[in-house]
Amino acid sequence: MDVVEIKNHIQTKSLNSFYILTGVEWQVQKIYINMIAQASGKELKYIDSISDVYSKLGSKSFINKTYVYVMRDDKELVQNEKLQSRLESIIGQNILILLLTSPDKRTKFYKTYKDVICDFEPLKPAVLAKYIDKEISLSNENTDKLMQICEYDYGRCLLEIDKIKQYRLGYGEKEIFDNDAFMMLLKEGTIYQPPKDAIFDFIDAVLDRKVNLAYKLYHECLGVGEAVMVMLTVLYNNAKALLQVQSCKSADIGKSTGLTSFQIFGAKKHLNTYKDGELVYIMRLCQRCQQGIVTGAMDEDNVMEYILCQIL
Amino acid sequence: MNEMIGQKILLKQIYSQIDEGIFPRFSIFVGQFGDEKNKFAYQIADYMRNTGESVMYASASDCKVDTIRNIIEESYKCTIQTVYAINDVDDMSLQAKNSLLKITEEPPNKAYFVMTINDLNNTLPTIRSRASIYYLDRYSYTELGDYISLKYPSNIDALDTLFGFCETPGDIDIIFEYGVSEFYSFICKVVDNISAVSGSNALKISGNIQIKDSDPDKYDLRLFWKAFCSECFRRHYLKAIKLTSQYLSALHTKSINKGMLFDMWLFDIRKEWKDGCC
Repeated sequence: MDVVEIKNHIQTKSLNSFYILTGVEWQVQKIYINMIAQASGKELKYIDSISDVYSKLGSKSFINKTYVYVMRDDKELVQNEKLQSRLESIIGQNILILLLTSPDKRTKFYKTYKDVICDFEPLKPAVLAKYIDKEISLSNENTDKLMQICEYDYGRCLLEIDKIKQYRLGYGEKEIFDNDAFMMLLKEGTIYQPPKDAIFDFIDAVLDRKVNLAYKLYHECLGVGEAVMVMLTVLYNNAKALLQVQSCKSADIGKSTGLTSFQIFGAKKHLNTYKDGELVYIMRLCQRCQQGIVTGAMDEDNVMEYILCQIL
Repeated sequence: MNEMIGQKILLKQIYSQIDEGIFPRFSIFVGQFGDEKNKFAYQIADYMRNTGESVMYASASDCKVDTIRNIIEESYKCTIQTVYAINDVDDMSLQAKNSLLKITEEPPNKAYFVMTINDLNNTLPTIRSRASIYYLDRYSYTELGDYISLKYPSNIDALDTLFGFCETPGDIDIIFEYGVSEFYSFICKVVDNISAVSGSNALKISGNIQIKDSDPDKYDLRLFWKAFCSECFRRHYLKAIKLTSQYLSALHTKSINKGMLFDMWLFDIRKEWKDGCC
């Protein structure tokens, strides 16, 4: 089953009694769940497991109210085959929506209900842009920027859009437009920007002795899960290349040092920020720390900060 | 070539244990890189066969956990005496080491496990405490000479050079692969010029040294330093020997970055030379 089919069911009000929704677009799933509830005229109820309402589903009563029951990753329903076989008969007039976070396609459950499962794949950028446009009026450029910052996740886009709306409310809606509010919040760092792969920029900042930038990029590296050993090795290699280029008296640096032209070009950007003796010290520090980590004498978590304190 | 060079005393000890029926079910042979410890399992199986027993020999293809588990499972089903060789376990994963514990607790009746290792600290204390440990003897010059005359009969005159830094047959094999005279002339060039060249040029020496296992055409760092010490001994540069020995022992540290270690040695040795201490 695809999203279009569910949309048709909603529009024609001929809804199934059981839906299984999967995929990463939780916000879009939520929209469809609300639409199903609205189309069916039933109240929406979030439950932990089918066992919470099993007795109500099976009982017969004149005043029995019907609901749209929504549950996430209910192991009992997924694993109990007897329950699955009796599901159609016990649901009655209710609608059951099962949300699966990581469905296992090898299981019997998945194979049995393959036709009922609807996967909410990540929205395409053009579609996401339309959804964003419904919520807030940003320029095309800012819409693209917002989608990029939120890594094309509709849920995160909605959260950031809410910040912009709240900011405008606080400022006075007539005083500031959506675009300006977005730019201001971006500048202030209120709109969360996920850390990027920054290791080489970090090492450049260290070799340029830019203290604040170095620490900022160090935290970004930690944010993307960069290994301390990798940072240590890259710092060491770059310091070594810089030392070789800086101390080379020969006209043919490549021949004299054995470095590639790319390495020489990279090293030349940082010439004379550190003296030769200081570069040797950086290399000794990195080696000592590497040995300390592998022997257990040093704690890996603190090593980079120790090195930055020593050299910046 | 399963004939062993040297280790006569150790072999005698093991054979007498086999004769008396007290050879342990689980043993660890500790030696250096390049010695012949991996041949012991075969020698043991061969000796047992010669005493009239029906004995099989099996060697683990690697030290991965699945291989070890398969061997363990197989050993409980074997119907004739089998000697299982598990070689070079220095880099064995923790999972594989833990799976070996089962066999050390309750070894099967028909199996002997022979493990070889360079550094005993690279295995679990629980495995060490349950095994009988045998340390290989150092090779004498006569034994190494016999090895060279057997394998490299046209290179007998290289003996003097090699004895300075080759301690095992494996070391000899590696040096012959490099070319004895090429390697020795490289060492002499380094000793002659290490303080004379500029710093950036000196750092280039590491380009000839095997820093990673994926640099097969370069010189092994351990052998380079041993040969360097040997040449310095010949020239009476005693402080250089002391310094290099410290770095040689640091090489035993697992996962140590060899490239960084070599560069630090370079800085220190150049400093010693410039201070006139060599």
